[in-house]
Amino acid sequence: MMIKIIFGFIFIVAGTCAGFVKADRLARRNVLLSELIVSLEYLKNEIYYTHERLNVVADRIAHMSEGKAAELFGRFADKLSDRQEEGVYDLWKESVEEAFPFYSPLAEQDAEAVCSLGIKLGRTDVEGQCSNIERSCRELSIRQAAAEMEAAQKSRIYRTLGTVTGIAFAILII
Amino acid sequence: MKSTSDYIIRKRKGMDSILDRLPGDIARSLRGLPIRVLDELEEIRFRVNRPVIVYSGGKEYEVARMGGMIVAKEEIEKIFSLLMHHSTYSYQDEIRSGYITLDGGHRVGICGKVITEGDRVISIRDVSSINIRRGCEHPGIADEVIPYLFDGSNNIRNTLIVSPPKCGKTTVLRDVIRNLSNRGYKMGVCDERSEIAGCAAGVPGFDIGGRTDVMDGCSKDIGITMLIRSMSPDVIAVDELGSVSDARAAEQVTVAGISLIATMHGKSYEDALRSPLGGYIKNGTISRIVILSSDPTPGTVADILNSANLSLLGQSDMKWE
Repeated sequence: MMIKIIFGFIFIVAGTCAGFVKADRLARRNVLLSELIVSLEYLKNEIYYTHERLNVVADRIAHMSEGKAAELFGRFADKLSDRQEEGVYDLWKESVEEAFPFYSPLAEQDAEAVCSLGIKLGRTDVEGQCSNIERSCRELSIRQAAAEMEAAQKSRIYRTLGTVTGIAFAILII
Repeated sequence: MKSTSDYIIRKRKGMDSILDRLPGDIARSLRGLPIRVLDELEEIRFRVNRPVIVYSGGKEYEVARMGGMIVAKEEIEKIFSLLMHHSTYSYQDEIRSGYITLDGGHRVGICGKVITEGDRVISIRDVSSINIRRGCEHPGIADEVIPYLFDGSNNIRNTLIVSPPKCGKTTVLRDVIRNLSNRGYKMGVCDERSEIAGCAAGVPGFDIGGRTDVMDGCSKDIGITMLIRSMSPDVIAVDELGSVSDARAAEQVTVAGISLIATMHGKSYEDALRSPLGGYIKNGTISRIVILSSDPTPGTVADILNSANLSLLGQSDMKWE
C-alpha cells in the first residue's frame, strides 16, 4: 500500500512537472522571439548607422544581445570570419539551426522565418538591408503576438491538465 | 638594410591582404607564381569566361590553375562578394564610383551592368570584370621632389603633382607626406578613397610618417574642413583634385594659411591650367607643378615647374624661384 502511495505521489509530481514544462516552453518561445526581434533591430541600426561589415556587426550584436539571440549572432560572426568562401545564407541557416535545435522552444515556422532573413543578408544596399530586416521583424512580431496569446490561453490549461493527469494515474494505481 | 627588409615585408603583407580576399583555389594559383612576379605585381584581372591575368614588372602573365583556366560568372560573383566581405551595403558608395578600396589601399575596379536613376549611378550588378590594382609604397621615390617644395624659409609651397593614370602620383604623394612628416611637419591627409594611407580599421597600411593625421573615407570638402578645424596641420595633402568642388575645397586650405599638396590627372602644365585649379596656378597660389611620367618607370619626375611654367628641375639655383 505504501509503495502504491509513493508511486501515486510520483505520478502526481511527474504529471504536474510535465504540465509546467509544456507551459514553460510556451513562455520561453515568447521570450526567444522577443530577444530575436530586439537583436534584429540592433542589426538594422548597426547596418544603417555604421555600414560596418557583416562579421563585425554580427560580433557586436552578439555582445549586445541576450540569451539565444546572442548565441545565434556569435556563431554567425565566427562562421563569417572562419569560412568566408561559403555563402552568407548557408552560414546564417547553419547558425540558426545550431542556436535553435529541434528541441528548442522556438517553433519550426519561427526558425524558418529567421532563416529567410539570410537570403538577402549582405547582398543589397543599406536600404535593401533595412527593408529585409524590417520584414523579418514584422513577421516575428506577428508570430510573437500569436505566441503570447497561446501562452496566455494554454499555460494554465497545461499546468492543470498535467496535475489532473497525474492525480488520475495516482487514483488508478491506488 | 633594416628599412629595405621592412619595406619588403610590408610589400608582401600587402600582397597577402589581397590574396586572403580571393577564393582559395585562385589564391593558391597566385601564390604559386615566382617570387619576382609576386613582388612586382601591379594588377590582377578577372574577366568572365577568360583566364586570370596578372600584370607584373610591365609584363602580362596568364595564370594557370587547377580546375581550368577560365573564370566562370559564378566565380566572378563569388570574388566580388569576398572582396566586399559579403557586405555590399558597406561599399555601396564606392560601388557607385565603379571601384572599391581594399584594406591596405588596393583599388578594385569593377565593370558590369550599371543601374542608374536619372543621371545618378545607383549600383553595378552582373559584374563582368574585376581589376585589383595593388597599392604599394616606394620609400624614397619622392626624394628628387622634396628640395623643390621649400620656399627658402622652411615653408612648404602649394604643390600640384600632375600625372596620367598609372604613373605613380599617389605613390609619390604618399612618399612626400612621409618625408615631410618625418621632417617635423604636421601633415593632414584627406584620404577620400583610402588609397594614400591604406587605412584598415583606422590603422594606416602604409608608412606615412609619424606626424600625419588621416581623415579616411571622407569627401574632400568635408575632410579638409575637419582637418583645418581640429588638427592644426602645417600641410594638407589630397589625391585627385579634379572638380570645381575639389578646387573650392583646396581654396579653404590656402586661405587658412596651410600649405597644400595635391595630385591631379594630366600630362602637362597646360592640362593643369585648364583644370579648375588653373586660376590658382595663374595667380601664383600654387607655385610648384610636378609633372610625372611612367618613362622609364612610374613615378619618374619628368619636370618640376613654377607657376610661370619655368622649369626648375636640375637647376639648384632655381629651387627657390
